[in-house]
Amino acid sequence: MKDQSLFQLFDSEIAEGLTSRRAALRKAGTMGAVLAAGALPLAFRRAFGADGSGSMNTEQVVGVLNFALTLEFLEDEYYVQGLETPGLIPEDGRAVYEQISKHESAHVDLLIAAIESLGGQPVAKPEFDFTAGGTFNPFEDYHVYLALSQGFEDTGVRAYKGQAGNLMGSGSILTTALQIHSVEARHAAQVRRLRGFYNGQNDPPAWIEFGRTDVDALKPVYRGENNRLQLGIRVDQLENPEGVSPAPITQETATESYDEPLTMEEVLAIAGLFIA
Amino acid sequence: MSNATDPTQEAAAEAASAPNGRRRFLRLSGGAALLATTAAGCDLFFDKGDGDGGDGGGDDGSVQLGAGDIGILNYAYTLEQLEAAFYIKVVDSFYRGATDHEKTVLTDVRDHEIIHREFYDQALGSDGIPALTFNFSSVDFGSRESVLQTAKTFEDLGVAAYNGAGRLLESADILTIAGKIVSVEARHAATIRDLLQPLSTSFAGDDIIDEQGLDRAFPPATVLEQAAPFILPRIIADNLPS
Repeated sequence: MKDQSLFQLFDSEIAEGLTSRRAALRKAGTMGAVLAAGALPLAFRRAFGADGSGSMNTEQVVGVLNFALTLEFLEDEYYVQGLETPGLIPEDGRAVYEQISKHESAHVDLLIAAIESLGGQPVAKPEFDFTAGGTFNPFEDYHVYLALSQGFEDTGVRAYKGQAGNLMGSGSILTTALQIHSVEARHAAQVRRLRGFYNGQNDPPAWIEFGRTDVDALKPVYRGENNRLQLGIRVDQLENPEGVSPAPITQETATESYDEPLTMEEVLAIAGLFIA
Repeated sequence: MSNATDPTQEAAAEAASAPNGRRRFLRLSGGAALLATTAAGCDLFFDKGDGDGGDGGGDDGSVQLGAGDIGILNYAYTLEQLEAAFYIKVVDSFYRGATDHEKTVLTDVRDHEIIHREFYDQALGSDGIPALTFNFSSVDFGSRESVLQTAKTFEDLGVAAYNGAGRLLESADILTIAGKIVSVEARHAATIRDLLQPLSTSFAGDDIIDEQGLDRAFPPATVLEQAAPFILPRIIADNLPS
Protein backbone atom coordinates (compact mmCIF):
# COMPACT_ATOMS: atom_id res chain seq x y z
CA MET A 1 0.00 0.00 0.00
CA LYS A 2 1.48 3.27 -1.08
CA ASP A 3 1.16 4.96 2.30
CA GLN A 4 2.77 2.05 4.09
CA SER A 5 5.19 4.26 5.99
CA LEU A 6 2.36 6.08 7.72
CA PHE A 7 1.01 2.92 9.28
CA GLN A 8 3.69 3.34 11.86
CA LEU A 9 1.36 5.84 13.45
CA PHE A 10 -1.01 3.00 14.18
CA ASP A 11 1.58 0.73 15.68
CA SER A 12 0.17 0.14 19.15
CA GLU A 13 3.47 0.98 20.78
CA ILE A 14 3.39 4.45 19.31
CA ALA A 15 -0.31 4.94 19.80
CA GLU A 16 -0.10 4.29 23.50
CA GLY A 17 2.70 6.72 24.01
CA LEU A 18 1.79 9.34 21.46
CA THR A 19 3.24 12.47 22.92
CA SER A 20 5.19 13.74 20.01
CA ARG A 21 3.83 13.83 16.51
CA ARG A 22 7.28 14.32 15.08
CA ALA A 23 8.71 11.40 16.97
CA ALA A 24 5.90 9.24 15.70
CA LEU A 25 6.48 10.24 12.12
CA ARG A 26 10.20 9.58 12.42
CA LYS A 27 9.90 6.15 13.88
CA ALA A 28 11.00 3.45 11.51
CA GLY A 29 9.78 -0.07 11.60
CA THR A 30 7.17 -2.47 10.42
CA MET A 31 3.58 -2.64 11.47
CA GLY A 32 2.75 -3.81 14.95
CA ALA A 33 2.23 -7.50 15.53
CA VAL A 34 -1.34 -6.86 16.60
CA LEU A 35 -2.18 -6.04 13.02
CA ALA A 36 -0.69 -9.21 11.61
CA ALA A 37 -3.47 -10.72 9.57
CA GLY A 38 -2.25 -14.21 10.12
CA ALA A 39 -3.18 -14.03 13.79
CA LEU A 40 -6.83 -13.25 13.14
CA PRO A 41 -9.38 -16.04 13.44
CA LEU A 42 -11.70 -16.26 10.46
CA ALA A 43 -14.65 -15.99 12.81
CA PHE A 44 -13.76 -12.37 13.59
CA ARG A 45 -13.80 -11.44 9.93
CA ARG A 46 -17.09 -13.13 9.31
CA ALA A 47 -18.62 -11.58 12.41
CA PHE A 48 -18.15 -8.16 10.95
CA GLY A 49 -19.69 -9.17 7.69
CA ALA A 50 -16.63 -9.28 5.49
CA ASP A 51 -18.25 -11.15 2.66
CA GLY A 52 -15.11 -12.62 1.20
CA SER A 53 -16.25 -11.75 -2.29
CA GLY A 54 -13.02 -9.89 -2.88
CA SER A 55 -9.88 -10.57 -0.96
CA MET A 56 -10.06 -8.40 2.11
CA ASN A 57 -6.69 -7.59 3.52
CA THR A 58 -7.64 -7.37 7.19
CA GLU A 59 -4.39 -5.70 8.14
CA GLN A 60 -5.00 -2.97 5.59
CA VAL A 61 -8.62 -2.57 6.62
CA VAL A 62 -7.72 -2.18 10.30
CA GLY A 63 -5.18 0.44 9.28
CA VAL A 64 -7.82 2.36 7.38
CA LEU A 65 -10.26 2.16 10.26
CA ASN A 66 -7.63 3.38 12.70
CA PHE A 67 -6.89 6.28 10.40
CA ALA A 68 -10.60 7.13 10.39
CA LEU A 69 -10.70 6.73 14.17
CA THR A 70 -7.91 9.25 14.58
CA LEU A 71 -9.90 11.82 12.64
CA GLU A 72 -13.09 11.03 14.51
CA PHE A 73 -11.24 11.41 17.83
CA LEU A 74 -10.10 14.83 16.65
CA GLU A 75 -13.55 15.98 15.64
CA ASP A 76 -15.20 14.48 18.71
CA GLU A 77 -12.83 16.25 21.06
CA TYR A 78 -13.11 19.54 19.17
CA TYR A 79 -16.88 19.58 19.43
CA VAL A 80 -17.01 18.47 23.05
CA GLN A 81 -14.59 21.23 23.99
CA GLY A 82 -16.45 23.81 21.96
CA LEU A 83 -19.83 22.94 23.43
CA GLU A 84 -18.35 23.04 26.92
CA THR A 85 -16.76 26.46 26.43
CA PRO A 86 -19.11 28.99 28.04
CA GLY A 87 -20.25 31.76 25.72
CA LEU A 88 -18.55 30.37 22.62
CA ILE A 89 -21.33 28.83 20.55
CA PRO A 90 -24.37 31.10 20.27
CA GLU A 91 -27.78 29.73 21.08
CA ASP A 92 -28.84 29.37 17.46
CA GLY A 93 -25.70 27.40 16.63
CA ARG A 94 -26.03 24.88 19.43
CA ALA A 95 -28.53 22.53 17.84
CA VAL A 96 -26.26 22.03 14.84
CA TYR A 97 -23.10 21.49 16.86
CA GLU A 98 -24.83 19.20 19.34
CA GLN A 99 -26.03 17.03 16.45
CA ILE A 100 -22.59 16.95 14.85
CA SER A 101 -20.98 16.16 18.19
CA LYS A 102 -23.43 13.33 18.80
CA HIS A 103 -22.49 11.76 15.49
CA GLU A 104 -18.73 12.05 15.96
CA SER A 105 -18.99 10.40 19.32
CA ALA A 106 -21.03 7.60 17.78
CA HIS A 107 -18.45 7.23 15.00
CA VAL A 108 -15.68 6.86 17.55
CA ASP A 109 -17.56 4.07 19.31
CA LEU A 110 -18.46 2.39 16.03
CA LEU A 111 -14.90 2.41 14.68
CA ILE A 112 -13.44 1.09 17.95
CA ALA A 113 -15.94 -1.76 17.90
CA ALA A 114 -15.20 -2.48 14.25
CA ILE A 115 -11.46 -2.59 14.78
CA GLU A 116 -11.77 -4.83 17.80
CA SER A 117 -14.12 -7.19 16.00
CA LEU A 118 -11.42 -7.63 13.36
CA GLY A 119 -8.97 -8.50 16.09
CA GLY A 120 -7.15 -5.22 15.71
CA GLN A 121 -6.00 -2.69 18.28
CA PRO A 122 -7.69 0.71 18.18
CA VAL A 123 -5.30 3.64 18.37
CA ALA A 124 -5.33 5.52 21.63
CA LYS A 125 -6.90 8.95 21.55
CA PRO A 126 -4.16 11.47 20.78
CA GLU A 127 -3.54 14.63 22.76
CA PHE A 128 -4.86 17.50 20.69
CA ASP A 129 -3.83 21.12 20.37
CA PHE A 130 -6.56 22.94 18.52
CA THR A 131 -4.54 26.13 18.52
CA ALA A 132 -2.01 24.41 16.27
CA GLY A 133 0.84 25.78 18.29
CA GLY A 134 -0.78 29.16 18.80
CA THR A 135 -1.87 29.76 15.23
CA PHE A 136 -5.57 29.68 16.03
CA ASN A 137 -7.80 30.65 18.95
CA PRO A 138 -10.97 28.66 18.22
CA PHE A 139 -12.26 28.60 21.77
CA GLU A 140 -12.08 32.36 22.11
CA ASP A 141 -13.48 33.43 18.77
CA TYR A 142 -16.55 31.78 17.32
CA HIS A 143 -15.60 32.77 13.78
CA VAL A 144 -12.34 30.86 14.19
CA TYR A 145 -14.21 27.96 15.74
CA LEU A 146 -16.51 27.88 12.72
CA ALA A 147 -13.61 28.08 10.28
CA LEU A 148 -11.72 25.21 11.88
CA SER A 149 -14.81 23.04 12.09
CA GLN A 150 -15.30 23.63 8.38
CA GLY A 151 -11.71 22.62 7.79
CA PHE A 152 -12.04 19.46 9.86
CA GLU A 153 -15.28 18.38 8.25
CA ASP A 154 -14.14 19.05 4.69
CA THR A 155 -10.89 17.20 5.45
CA GLY A 156 -12.80 14.26 6.89
CA VAL A 157 -14.98 14.00 3.81
CA ARG A 158 -11.89 13.96 1.58
CA ALA A 159 -10.15 11.48 3.86
CA TYR A 160 -12.91 8.89 3.69
CA LYS A 161 -13.07 9.19 -0.08
CA GLY A 162 -9.37 8.65 -0.29
CA GLN A 163 -9.67 5.33 1.50
CA ALA A 164 -12.70 3.85 -0.22
CA GLY A 165 -10.54 1.97 -2.70
CA ASN A 166 -8.60 0.39 0.15
CA LEU A 167 -11.82 -1.03 1.55
CA MET A 168 -12.93 -2.79 -1.63
CA GLY A 169 -13.74 -6.41 -1.00
CA SER A 170 -14.55 -5.74 2.63
CA GLY A 171 -18.31 -5.88 2.06
CA SER A 172 -20.21 -4.23 4.86
CA ILE A 173 -17.11 -2.40 6.10
CA LEU A 174 -16.91 -0.44 2.88
CA THR A 175 -20.63 0.29 3.14
CA THR A 176 -20.22 1.49 6.71
CA ALA A 177 -17.39 3.79 5.65
CA LEU A 178 -19.61 5.24 2.93
CA GLN A 179 -22.41 5.69 5.45
CA ILE A 180 -20.08 7.63 7.74
CA HIS A 181 -18.65 9.61 4.85
CA SER A 182 -22.01 10.98 3.71
CA VAL A 183 -22.83 12.08 7.25
CA GLU A 184 -19.53 13.96 7.38
CA ALA A 185 -20.46 15.59 4.07
CA ARG A 186 -23.76 16.71 5.60
CA HIS A 187 -21.80 18.14 8.53
CA ALA A 188 -19.44 19.92 6.19
CA ALA A 189 -22.28 21.43 4.21
CA GLN A 190 -24.06 22.61 7.31
CA VAL A 191 -21.00 24.16 8.94
CA ARG A 192 -20.28 26.05 5.74
CA ARG A 193 -23.87 27.28 5.72
CA LEU A 194 -23.51 28.30 9.37
CA ARG A 195 -20.47 30.38 8.50
CA GLY A 196 -22.39 31.98 5.66
CA PHE A 197 -25.26 32.72 7.99
CA TYR A 198 -23.08 34.28 10.66
CA ASN A 199 -21.06 36.44 8.31
CA GLY A 200 -24.23 37.60 6.61
CA GLN A 201 -22.81 36.77 3.19
CA ASN A 202 -24.28 33.32 2.57
CA ASP A 203 -20.71 32.45 1.71
CA PRO A 204 -19.08 29.96 1.62
CA PRO A 205 -21.73 27.85 -0.07
CA ALA A 206 -22.31 24.30 1.14
CA TRP A 207 -20.18 22.95 -1.75
CA ILE A 208 -16.55 23.48 -2.57
CA GLU A 209 -15.97 25.75 -5.56
CA PHE A 210 -12.57 25.55 -7.25
CA GLY A 211 -10.09 25.12 -4.39
CA ARG A 212 -11.24 28.34 -2.87
CA THR A 213 -11.04 29.09 0.78
CA ASP A 214 -11.31 32.41 2.53
CA VAL A 215 -9.02 31.17 5.29
CA ASP A 216 -5.36 31.12 4.23
CA ALA A 217 -4.34 28.56 6.82
CA LEU A 218 -6.91 26.11 5.45
CA LYS A 219 -5.45 26.08 1.93
CA PRO A 220 -4.05 22.54 2.27
CA VAL A 221 -7.56 21.31 3.02
CA TYR A 222 -8.68 22.37 -0.45
CA ARG A 223 -5.67 21.52 -2.54
CA GLY A 224 -6.70 19.66 -5.67
CA GLU A 225 -10.37 20.59 -5.44
CA ASN A 226 -9.90 22.50 -8.66
CA ASN A 227 -9.84 19.23 -10.56
CA ARG A 228 -11.99 19.05 -13.68
CA LEU A 229 -10.87 15.71 -15.06
CA GLN A 230 -13.13 12.86 -14.05
CA LEU A 231 -12.47 9.39 -15.48
CA GLY A 232 -10.70 10.98 -18.40
CA ILE A 233 -13.57 13.35 -19.10
CA ARG A 234 -13.17 17.12 -18.84
CA VAL A 235 -16.39 17.86 -17.05
CA ASP A 236 -15.99 21.60 -17.53
CA GLN A 237 -16.14 20.98 -21.28
CA LEU A 238 -19.33 18.93 -21.34
CA GLU A 239 -21.85 20.42 -23.70
CA ASN A 240 -24.48 22.65 -22.15
CA PRO A 241 -27.96 21.25 -22.79
CA GLU A 242 -30.17 23.36 -25.00
CA GLY A 243 -32.77 25.59 -23.50
CA VAL A 244 -31.31 25.64 -20.00
CA SER A 245 -30.33 29.02 -18.67
CA PRO A 246 -28.22 30.32 -17.19
CA ALA A 247 -25.77 27.84 -18.75
CA PRO A 248 -25.27 25.18 -16.09
CA ILE A 249 -21.83 23.88 -17.03
CA THR A 250 -19.11 26.35 -16.06
CA GLN A 251 -15.63 26.06 -14.59
CA GLU A 252 -17.14 26.81 -11.21
CA THR A 253 -20.00 24.33 -11.30
CA ALA A 254 -17.73 21.67 -12.79
CA THR A 255 -15.43 21.83 -9.77
CA GLU A 256 -18.37 22.02 -7.35
CA SER A 257 -19.94 18.87 -8.73
CA TYR A 258 -17.17 16.59 -7.52
CA ASP A 259 -15.43 16.54 -4.17
CA GLU A 260 -11.87 15.24 -4.40
CA PRO A 261 -10.18 12.63 -2.20
CA LEU A 262 -7.04 13.21 -0.20
CA THR A 263 -4.41 10.58 0.47
CA MET A 264 -3.75 9.40 4.00
CA GLU A 265 -0.44 11.22 3.92
CA GLU A 266 -2.07 14.51 2.94
CA VAL A 267 -4.73 14.17 5.62
CA LEU A 268 -2.25 13.33 8.35
CA ALA A 269 -0.19 16.37 7.37
CA ILE A 270 -3.26 18.50 8.08
CA ALA A 271 -4.47 16.63 11.15
CA GLY A 272 -0.94 16.47 12.52
CA LEU A 273 -0.97 20.22 12.98
CA PHE A 274 -3.56 19.72 15.69
CA ILE A 275 -1.95 16.77 17.45
CA ALA A 276 0.14 17.91 20.37
CA MET B 1 -31.94 12.85 -31.87
CA SER B 2 -32.52 9.60 -33.68
CA ASN B 3 -35.64 7.51 -34.23
CA ALA B 4 -33.97 4.51 -35.77
CA THR B 5 -36.07 1.43 -36.35
CA ASP B 6 -33.14 -0.75 -35.34
CA PRO B 7 -31.69 1.21 -32.49
CA THR B 8 -29.22 -1.36 -31.26
CA GLN B 9 -27.40 -1.65 -34.56
CA GLU B 10 -27.52 2.04 -35.15
CA ALA B 11 -26.17 2.68 -31.71
CA ALA B 12 -23.31 0.29 -32.33
CA ALA B 13 -22.54 1.90 -35.66
CA GLU B 14 -22.61 5.34 -34.12
CA ALA B 15 -20.37 4.28 -31.33
CA ALA B 16 -17.88 2.91 -33.83
CA SER B 17 -17.65 6.05 -35.85
CA ALA B 18 -19.68 9.04 -34.91
CA PRO B 19 -20.59 11.42 -37.71
CA ASN B 20 -18.03 13.94 -36.59
CA GLY B 21 -15.30 11.33 -36.79
CA ARG B 22 -14.85 10.96 -33.04
CA ARG B 23 -15.53 7.83 -31.11
CA ARG B 24 -16.84 7.35 -27.68
CA PHE B 25 -16.66 4.09 -25.87
CA LEU B 26 -16.41 2.61 -22.49
CA ARG B 27 -14.01 -0.17 -21.70
CA LEU B 28 -13.97 -2.00 -18.43
CA SER B 29 -12.02 -5.07 -17.60
CA GLY B 30 -11.22 -6.15 -14.11
CA GLY B 31 -9.34 -3.32 -12.46
CA ALA B 32 -8.45 -1.55 -15.69
CA ALA B 33 -9.01 2.16 -15.78
CA LEU B 34 -12.13 3.47 -17.39
CA LEU B 35 -11.47 4.89 -20.82
CA ALA B 36 -13.77 7.37 -22.46
CA THR B 37 -13.13 9.97 -25.09
CA THR B 38 -15.43 12.89 -25.44
CA ALA B 39 -17.84 13.25 -28.27
CA ALA B 40 -20.32 15.95 -29.01
CA GLY B 41 -23.95 15.45 -29.62
CA CYS B 42 -26.70 13.35 -28.20
CA ASP B 43 -26.72 10.72 -30.97
CA LEU B 44 -27.78 7.94 -28.71
CA PHE B 45 -30.72 9.59 -27.03
CA PHE B 46 -34.04 8.09 -27.98
CA ASP B 47 -37.30 9.70 -27.08
CA LYS B 48 -39.05 7.07 -25.01
CA GLY B 49 -42.33 8.83 -25.52
CA ASP B 50 -42.73 7.85 -29.16
CA GLY B 51 -42.98 4.17 -28.44
CA ASP B 52 -40.26 2.88 -30.72
CA GLY B 53 -38.03 1.64 -27.91
CA GLY B 54 -34.50 2.91 -27.56
CA ASP B 55 -31.01 1.75 -26.94
CA GLY B 56 -31.42 -0.93 -24.28
CA GLY B 57 -35.18 -0.46 -24.41
CA GLY B 58 -37.79 -3.13 -24.67
CA ASP B 59 -40.87 -2.81 -26.89
CA ASP B 60 -42.97 -1.99 -23.85
CA GLY B 61 -40.84 1.11 -23.09
CA SER B 62 -38.86 -0.60 -20.36
CA VAL B 63 -35.20 0.22 -19.86
CA GLN B 64 -32.60 -2.41 -18.99
CA LEU B 65 -29.77 -1.10 -16.80
CA GLY B 66 -27.39 -3.91 -17.64
CA ALA B 67 -24.93 -5.85 -15.57
CA GLY B 68 -21.73 -5.25 -13.66
CA ASP B 69 -20.23 -1.82 -13.24
CA ILE B 70 -22.04 -0.63 -16.39
CA GLY B 71 -25.33 -1.54 -14.76
CA ILE B 72 -24.45 0.40 -11.63
CA LEU B 73 -23.39 3.41 -13.68
CA ASN B 74 -26.67 3.28 -15.57
CA TYR B 75 -28.46 3.06 -12.25
CA ALA B 76 -26.66 6.21 -11.07
CA TYR B 77 -27.35 7.78 -14.46
CA THR B 78 -31.07 7.08 -13.96
CA LEU B 79 -31.11 8.97 -10.69
CA GLU B 80 -29.08 11.88 -12.02
CA GLN B 81 -31.43 12.15 -14.99
CA LEU B 82 -34.35 12.26 -12.57
CA GLU B 83 -32.79 14.94 -10.41
CA ALA B 84 -31.63 17.04 -13.36
CA ALA B 85 -35.08 16.99 -14.92
CA PHE B 86 -36.66 17.96 -11.62
CA TYR B 87 -34.35 20.86 -10.86
CA ILE B 88 -34.53 22.16 -14.42
CA LYS B 89 -38.27 22.54 -13.90
CA VAL B 90 -37.74 24.11 -10.46
CA VAL B 91 -35.32 26.74 -11.77
CA ASP B 92 -37.32 27.36 -14.91
CA SER B 93 -40.13 28.70 -12.77
CA PHE B 94 -39.32 29.18 -9.12
CA TYR B 95 -41.95 28.62 -6.44
CA ARG B 96 -43.78 31.57 -4.98
CA GLY B 97 -41.68 33.56 -2.53
CA ALA B 98 -38.34 32.07 -3.48
CA THR B 99 -35.59 34.23 -1.97
CA ASP B 100 -32.43 35.17 -3.85
CA HIS B 101 -30.49 32.78 -1.64
CA GLU B 102 -32.87 29.92 -2.39
CA LYS B 103 -32.67 30.65 -6.11
CA THR B 104 -28.89 30.60 -5.97
CA VAL B 105 -28.85 27.34 -4.06
CA LEU B 106 -31.36 25.58 -6.31
CA THR B 107 -29.63 26.79 -9.45
CA ASP B 108 -26.33 25.43 -8.15
CA VAL B 109 -27.94 22.08 -7.36
CA ARG B 110 -29.51 21.99 -10.79
CA ASP B 111 -26.15 22.66 -12.39
CA HIS B 112 -24.46 19.88 -10.42
CA GLU B 113 -27.12 17.34 -11.37
CA ILE B 114 -26.90 18.32 -15.02
CA ILE B 115 -23.14 17.90 -14.93
CA HIS B 116 -23.49 14.50 -13.29
CA ARG B 117 -26.02 13.50 -15.89
CA GLU B 118 -23.94 14.66 -18.86
CA PHE B 119 -20.87 13.03 -17.34
CA TYR B 120 -22.58 9.65 -17.14
CA ASP B 121 -23.81 10.08 -20.69
CA GLN B 122 -20.26 10.62 -21.90
CA ALA B 123 -18.71 7.94 -19.71
CA LEU B 124 -21.24 5.29 -20.71
CA GLY B 125 -21.39 6.07 -24.38
CA SER B 126 -23.24 3.36 -26.28
CA ASP B 127 -23.65 1.40 -23.06
CA GLY B 128 -25.77 4.16 -21.58
CA ILE B 129 -29.53 3.99 -21.16
CA PRO B 130 -31.48 6.46 -23.27
CA ALA B 131 -32.97 9.75 -22.09
CA LEU B 132 -35.80 8.90 -19.71
CA THR B 133 -39.09 10.68 -19.28
CA PHE B 134 -40.54 11.63 -15.95
CA ASN B 135 -43.76 12.21 -14.12
CA PHE B 136 -43.75 15.20 -11.78
CA SER B 137 -47.53 15.56 -11.57
CA SER B 138 -47.38 14.99 -7.81
CA VAL B 139 -45.24 18.10 -7.39
CA ASP B 140 -46.71 21.59 -7.09
CA PHE B 141 -43.86 23.62 -8.55
CA GLY B 142 -45.52 26.81 -7.29
CA SER B 143 -45.28 25.66 -3.70
CA ARG B 144 -42.06 26.03 -1.71
CA GLU B 145 -43.05 23.19 0.59
CA SER B 146 -43.84 20.79 -2.25
CA VAL B 147 -40.68 21.58 -4.19
CA LEU B 148 -38.30 21.41 -1.23
CA GLN B 149 -39.87 18.26 0.22
CA THR B 150 -39.50 16.56 -3.17
CA ALA B 151 -35.92 17.79 -3.45
CA LYS B 152 -35.21 16.43 0.01
CA THR B 153 -36.65 13.05 -0.97
CA PHE B 154 -34.53 12.88 -4.10
CA GLU B 155 -31.30 13.95 -2.43
CA ASP B 156 -31.67 11.61 0.54
CA LEU B 157 -32.56 8.80 -1.86
CA GLY B 158 -29.54 9.55 -4.02
CA VAL B 159 -27.23 9.38 -1.00
CA ALA B 160 -28.76 6.07 0.08
CA ALA B 161 -28.39 4.77 -3.46
CA TYR B 162 -24.71 5.59 -3.79
CA ASN B 163 -23.98 4.31 -0.29
CA GLY B 164 -25.67 1.01 -1.08
CA ALA B 165 -24.04 0.63 -4.48
CA GLY B 166 -20.43 1.13 -3.45
CA ARG B 167 -19.78 -2.45 -2.46
CA LEU B 168 -21.27 -3.70 -5.74
CA LEU B 169 -18.59 -2.07 -7.88
CA GLU B 170 -15.55 -3.88 -9.24
CA SER B 171 -13.55 -0.91 -10.46
CA ALA B 172 -11.74 1.19 -7.86
CA ASP B 173 -11.78 4.14 -10.26
CA ILE B 174 -15.55 4.01 -10.51
CA LEU B 175 -15.88 3.65 -6.77
CA THR B 176 -13.79 6.80 -6.37
CA ILE B 177 -15.97 8.69 -8.84
CA ALA B 178 -19.11 7.52 -7.04
CA GLY B 179 -17.56 8.77 -3.80
CA LYS B 180 -16.83 12.16 -5.32
CA ILE B 181 -20.41 12.50 -6.46
CA VAL B 182 -22.12 11.25 -3.30
CA SER B 183 -20.16 13.80 -1.25
CA VAL B 184 -21.92 16.49 -3.26
CA GLU B 185 -25.32 14.78 -3.09
CA ALA B 186 -24.99 14.66 0.69
CA ARG B 187 -24.15 18.38 0.72
CA HIS B 188 -27.30 18.93 -1.35
CA ALA B 189 -29.35 16.88 1.07
CA ALA B 190 -28.11 18.80 4.10
CA THR B 191 -28.72 22.12 2.36
CA ILE B 192 -32.27 21.34 1.27
CA ARG B 193 -33.10 20.12 4.75
CA ASP B 194 -31.64 23.30 6.21
CA LEU B 195 -33.77 25.41 3.87
CA LEU B 196 -36.81 23.58 5.21
CA GLN B 197 -35.78 23.76 8.87
CA PRO B 198 -33.04 26.36 9.25
CA LEU B 199 -30.42 25.95 11.98
CA SER B 200 -32.08 22.77 13.21
CA THR B 201 -30.72 19.24 13.42
CA SER B 202 -32.50 18.35 10.20
CA PHE B 203 -29.42 18.66 7.95
CA ALA B 204 -28.40 15.30 9.41
CA GLY B 205 -31.54 14.58 11.38
CA ASP B 206 -32.48 11.66 13.55
CA ASP B 207 -35.06 10.75 10.94
CA ILE B 208 -32.28 9.84 8.56
CA ILE B 209 -29.11 9.26 10.57
CA ASP B 210 -29.20 6.33 12.98
CA GLU B 211 -27.87 6.05 16.52
CA GLN B 212 -24.49 4.87 15.21
CA GLY B 213 -24.21 8.08 13.20
CA LEU B 214 -24.78 6.26 9.91
CA ASP B 215 -26.58 7.53 6.83
CA ARG B 216 -28.84 5.15 4.93
CA ALA B 217 -27.55 2.65 2.39
CA PHE B 218 -30.22 1.09 0.19
CA PRO B 219 -30.00 -1.75 -2.32
CA PRO B 220 -30.89 -0.74 -5.90
CA ALA B 221 -34.29 -2.43 -5.77
CA THR B 222 -35.35 -0.28 -2.82
CA VAL B 223 -34.19 2.93 -4.44
CA LEU B 224 -35.83 2.16 -7.76
CA GLU B 225 -39.06 1.27 -6.00
CA GLN B 226 -39.09 4.68 -4.32
CA ALA B 227 -38.12 6.50 -7.50
CA ALA B 228 -40.59 4.58 -9.69
CA PRO B 229 -43.56 6.94 -9.24
CA PHE B 230 -41.51 9.67 -10.91
CA ILE B 231 -40.02 7.65 -13.77
CA LEU B 232 -42.25 6.82 -16.74
CA PRO B 233 -40.43 3.87 -18.33
CA ARG B 234 -40.06 0.73 -16.26
CA ILE B 235 -36.45 0.37 -15.10
CA ILE B 236 -35.22 -3.22 -15.24
CA ALA B 237 -32.51 -3.79 -12.67
CA ASP B 238 -32.45 -7.56 -12.40
CA ASN B 239 -29.02 -7.93 -13.95
CA LEU B 240 -27.33 -5.60 -11.47
CA PRO B 241 -24.76 -7.11 -9.15
CA SER B 242 -25.98 -7.95 -5.67
